[in-house]
Amino acid sequence: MNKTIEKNHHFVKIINYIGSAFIFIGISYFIFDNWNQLNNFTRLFSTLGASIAAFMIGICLHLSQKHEDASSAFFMLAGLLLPLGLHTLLLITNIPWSIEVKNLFISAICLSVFLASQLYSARTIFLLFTILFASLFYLSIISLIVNHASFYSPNISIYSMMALGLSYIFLGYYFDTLNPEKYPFIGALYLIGGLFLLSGSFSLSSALVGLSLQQWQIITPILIILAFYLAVPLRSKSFLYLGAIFLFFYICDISTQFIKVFGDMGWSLILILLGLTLITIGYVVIQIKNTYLNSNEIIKISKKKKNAANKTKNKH
Amino acid sequence: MQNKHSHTFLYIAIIIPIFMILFTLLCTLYSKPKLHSHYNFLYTTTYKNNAYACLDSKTYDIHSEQDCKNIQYYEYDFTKNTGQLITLEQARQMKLSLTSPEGYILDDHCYISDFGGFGLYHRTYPNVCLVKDNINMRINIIFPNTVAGSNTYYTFNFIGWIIDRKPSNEEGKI
Repeated sequence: MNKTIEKNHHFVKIINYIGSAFIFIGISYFIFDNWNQLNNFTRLFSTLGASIAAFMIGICLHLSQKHEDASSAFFMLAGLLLPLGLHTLLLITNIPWSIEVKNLFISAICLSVFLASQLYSARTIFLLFTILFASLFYLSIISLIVNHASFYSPNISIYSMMALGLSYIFLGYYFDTLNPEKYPFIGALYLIGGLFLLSGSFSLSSALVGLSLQQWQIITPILIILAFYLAVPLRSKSFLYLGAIFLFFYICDISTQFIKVFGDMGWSLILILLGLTLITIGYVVIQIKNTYLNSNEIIKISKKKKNAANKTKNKH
Repeated sequence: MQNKHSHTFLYIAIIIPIFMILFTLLCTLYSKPKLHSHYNFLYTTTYKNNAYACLDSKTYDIHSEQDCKNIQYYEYDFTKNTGQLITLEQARQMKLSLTSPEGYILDDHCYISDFGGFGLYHRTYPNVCLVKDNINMRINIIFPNTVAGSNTYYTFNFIGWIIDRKPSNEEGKI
């Protein structure tokens, strides 16, 4: 019975979020389509004004406690509209700032609003937007530094994305150690973090599509093995799948070397090797998933963790 | 103990981006590799992408047709790090090459891969970089109208590296 109520609860939440996304798309389309017909007040009122209004309604619903779930949808709408509203404000005021400074301003304001909200009253939606705007703030600072420098290495943008990916993984692990049921976005953090890290490493090492840097040709396979290794203790299917995908890409990449050694014969060798790799990866992934990452196993591990945490609490 | 342990990962997650910002700052402040071309280059900055048609692909000479007369030609001087406006006649006196004898490449899409914009902003002019050995150096190309709010998109048209200058007709007579 409880499970059905919980399911309905989740369904209503998802419907609320989709509704917010539709409102956001509607307002954005209205503004971009009718930009020239609207006066400055309407432009600002329908974006920044709507964002502030949504935030206020969210606070009212949050404080009422009866409709706390509905408040998330309004906070989401506020979070989506706030950057658009600030962008409209900058366009109207026509401040001669560079693109990077504008980005920094928008991301800093959005981050301050949602970080303050999170610190005042911790909620998943605030935390999600705090992570999102903190990431944009970080990328804005990197962009500002790079664009004001005369010299730079084009790899810096790849390194900064990899650093962000690593940060997401640590953040995911932090929430995982706190309470995995309270933070439903842990899997997404692992997925995006792993994707940033592995794609960055692959683009630096790949001879076929990337920069072919020698040190990264050694680091990339280590990271791929780490992804497989960490999939079990972190109970992350994303790591397992990402590891499999990038292992396949990596083998595709190194197998092109066969053409240099074997000439035309290399192509058939590549195909055989890729076929064998694909079968092996598929088999290994299914084995790991069935043995360690099925839902019963995850529940068992979570229960063990909870018991251990309760024991330490009781001792204290 | 559990809390202390888990907070460590939060601190690491925050420190990594801070470290990356400091690393980028130090890299851009202290790494100043010497990218200095001994050869200047000829370019135009137009909002129409037709300047390439003015260069004869066989003789590397600039045509004297009406369309090519209306274009403003600039010589980028690496000793002064600025582009200087020159006349069509001056441009026609130059012996040009499409490749740099020193192996430099001009990239008019540098910084595009960075995060400026986030989909909200567009540059109305390109950033041009001198590139060699995976190091980019931004060069000082000035576009006619780069003020905020301008909707005219300018393009950088590289014409050629100035290898030599042909003796002018008057000098030839002397």
